[in-house]
Amino acid sequence: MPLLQIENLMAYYGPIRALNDISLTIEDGEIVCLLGGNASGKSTTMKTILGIVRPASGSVRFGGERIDRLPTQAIVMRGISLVPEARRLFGRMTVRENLALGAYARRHAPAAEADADYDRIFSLFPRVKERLDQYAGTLSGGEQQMVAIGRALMARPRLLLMDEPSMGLAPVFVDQVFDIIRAINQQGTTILVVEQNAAVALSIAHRGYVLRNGRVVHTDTAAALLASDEIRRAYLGDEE
Amino acid sequence: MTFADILAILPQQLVFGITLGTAYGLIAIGYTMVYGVLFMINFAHGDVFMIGAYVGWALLGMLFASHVVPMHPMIVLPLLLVGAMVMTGAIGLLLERLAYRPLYQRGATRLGPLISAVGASIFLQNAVMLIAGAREKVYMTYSVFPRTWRFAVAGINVSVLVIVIASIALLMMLGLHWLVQRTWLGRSIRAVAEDREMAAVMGIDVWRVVALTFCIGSALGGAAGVLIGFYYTQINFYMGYAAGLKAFTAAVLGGIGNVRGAMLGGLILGIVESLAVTFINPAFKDVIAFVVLILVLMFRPGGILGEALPDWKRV
Amino acid sequence: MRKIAAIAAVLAAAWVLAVPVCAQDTIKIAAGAPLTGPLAKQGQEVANAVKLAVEEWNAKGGVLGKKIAVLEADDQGNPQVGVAAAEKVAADPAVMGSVWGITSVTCIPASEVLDRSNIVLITPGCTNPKVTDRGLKNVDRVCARDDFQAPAGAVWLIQDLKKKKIAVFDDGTTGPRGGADEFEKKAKALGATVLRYVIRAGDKDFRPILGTIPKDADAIYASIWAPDAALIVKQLPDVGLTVPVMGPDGQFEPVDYIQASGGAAEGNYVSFLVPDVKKVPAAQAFAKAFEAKYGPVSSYGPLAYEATNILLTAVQKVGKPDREAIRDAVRATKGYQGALGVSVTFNAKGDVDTQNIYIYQVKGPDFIQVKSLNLGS
Repeated sequence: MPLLQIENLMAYYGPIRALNDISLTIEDGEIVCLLGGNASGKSTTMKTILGIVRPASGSVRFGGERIDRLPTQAIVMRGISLVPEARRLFGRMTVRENLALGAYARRHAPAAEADADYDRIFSLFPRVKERLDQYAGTLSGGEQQMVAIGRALMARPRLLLMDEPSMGLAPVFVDQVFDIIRAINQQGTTILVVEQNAAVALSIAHRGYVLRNGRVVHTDTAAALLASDEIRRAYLGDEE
Repeated sequence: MTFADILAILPQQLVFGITLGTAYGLIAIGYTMVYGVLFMINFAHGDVFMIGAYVGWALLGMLFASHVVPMHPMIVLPLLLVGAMVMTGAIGLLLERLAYRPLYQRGATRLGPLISAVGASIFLQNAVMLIAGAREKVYMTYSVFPRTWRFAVAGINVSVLVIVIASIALLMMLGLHWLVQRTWLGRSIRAVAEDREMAAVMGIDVWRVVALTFCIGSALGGAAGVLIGFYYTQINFYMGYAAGLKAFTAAVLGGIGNVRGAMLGGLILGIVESLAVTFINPAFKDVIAFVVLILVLMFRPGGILGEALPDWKRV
Repeated sequence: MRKIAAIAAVLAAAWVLAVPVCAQDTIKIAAGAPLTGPLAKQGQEVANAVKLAVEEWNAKGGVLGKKIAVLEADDQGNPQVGVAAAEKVAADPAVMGSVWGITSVTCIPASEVLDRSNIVLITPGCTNPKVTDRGLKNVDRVCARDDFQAPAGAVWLIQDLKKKKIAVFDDGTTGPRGGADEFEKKAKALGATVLRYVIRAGDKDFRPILGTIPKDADAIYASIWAPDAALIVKQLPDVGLTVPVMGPDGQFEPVDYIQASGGAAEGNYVSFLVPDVKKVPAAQAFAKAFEAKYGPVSSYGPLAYEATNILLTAVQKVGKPDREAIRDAVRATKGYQGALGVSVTFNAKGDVDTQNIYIYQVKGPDFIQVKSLNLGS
């Protein structure tokens, strides 16, 4: 049974169709990458998984259970976390409070587990530990991305959704972030990543889906997609 | 009036200003908290405050008539405060549920809930008038705080009542501050205030937090109703309008959406009003309060402790 | 709508024409007052006093050889209802005069309706100057005018109580502001220092403004309504002031002033237009008769009784049921010796030439009369 299974998903923003019959699956332990241009439906797919956008029809199953009618907080409680586009930290709160909020879904868990989660994040991002009592709004873009990933991990998600993790980051830092994504995946978290920077994303992903105008137009293993001329032309910026 | 005269009455006026200011602050918190999570001015909040005053009045009358407990502030005040806070907290929940949530969940614009708030305000006023009658109600303040419980320090008259009111209001503000800063609920409220969508993504039940915010803000308003009832000694069903306007001004003055700002704004407004009476024509008391508001907003549009609001949060 | 109005007019005309046939053997006088609603207690006392006077006349054989009947007109203290009630009174040809009202807002429009039918209106309790200042021939007043209360207050505080520095409050509205102005004028003429303060009616916290009163002020004249006055007297101790407070008849309210003050009003003074019948030897017969029938006298009863007697005396003097002549005979009343121990003479406007103001003091739950002041009008 796949961890996440989306079937025939349709979604609208008012009269505008954002998703047109999307179907995709994510297996436990995978890194799956969604590719596509602007307004191709990548971000909407993520928002629909989280219940932020309500599908008009179709279904989303997580671990076999239908979640497409659940409120966002209930979906999150079942083990899906998001690292949103542009980080969206709570800028008026400290880094510590941001991480704590990430653990909101697990606030009734024993304190020892939370401590272990903090230690895991500090080992992934030693810089975060130095910034704990600083307001999140005052951090640099790279530091904010670390906190955003850390915040999402505090919930111990089974599935981590990452929306444009490389956006607005210095090139050196992009590679670092993707190394960490791979490390997180190797520690057992399934990851769905939406990324404009297809080359980097495909370099760590197992499989990929290509979206255009709200439809899945192509799906294959990451290696095959990287090798495909069509994909190279459309998304990897290679000239003809 | 000579300078010496003014100097002589200044400390006395400060005592009154601080007392009234703490109560304004307590009401202002209700406006600011709801604005924080919904970006809406809950114009029915003044009437929730009024209902708190009425609940306190009714309980005080019952305690007085039944002789079950001695009329000592240590016994009477907690009973009245708890009663008023439970009642107004429940009304806050109902308001959110019946007057606002249905509009928000149908994707209302800013105007809809505002009109709904005005309607709720009129409804509450008339309900109280029909239930309790239109006549002024008298708080038997001096049966709980005897007239002799007062003393003079260096020419300043201070009554136990004034001290109790200011301390209870301050304690409640500190309690709220602790709740907002240190508890899961407080963190959730701040998260919802800052980014509702991300709060939901953290697993927070946003509408539950909004409802609890209404409940807490309303309960504090209800407590302020009891305190102000004791202080004013007379209440009526339309008192919520004027008090609400003042408290709303205090909230904007301090920076709406900011709990500490509401407290500070309340204190400043209370003191400014008292001093305006001393130095300028008392008839201009309210004018002065609003002039101060305008001046502050001219130089700090977000209020004293407020931050410049991003466009999407502006009213 | 027009059709309904036409039918109503026809019915009304038929009714008016039909009445005289069966009404010729009685003379009616109208008792207009709020008989229902929040002012019903005072209004009923007016109607009861009129009935008592009429019963006494009937016991002596009535007037003009006819029995007298009382036509009750309930104005509910509401101008519209008052006008409708007055229309009904005016439509009854047996009505030879009226004793009307305790609220000026209804008295004024009702008197205009009655004026068209030349029915005289004597008011025992409408104190607004406008009631008689409009120059109507049919309106007379047996109580004092509002604008005499404040000077009476000044006389009492300065001449009787020897106060020298008086803080005067009003609420900025026409009536109370006028009262405060009159007080200041009289007080300055009597040699006292006056300090003026304005509050806003409905405000609840007057401590800041009370705090600005100099500590050597020795009295307060509060030209404001009872609920505001109750707050002021309660909050005075908070600023360390203990001085007597005096106010006009708006504070003659056992519940809204004495009770609301929770004991803080004790010893304060209020001016009022009606004497305490217990203090007037000549009124004892009336007081006993009234109490036996309707319970204790508490407000406008004595003046309504007086007004009824003045009206019926005028009817007797005219000798025939002629509304216009009765109207003029009432206005011509001179030196009438009534039950209240003061003689009544109406001046050209219809006001009594001696304005009697009674000073009461708060004692426990009651107002006790301490002085009667007679000022020439």
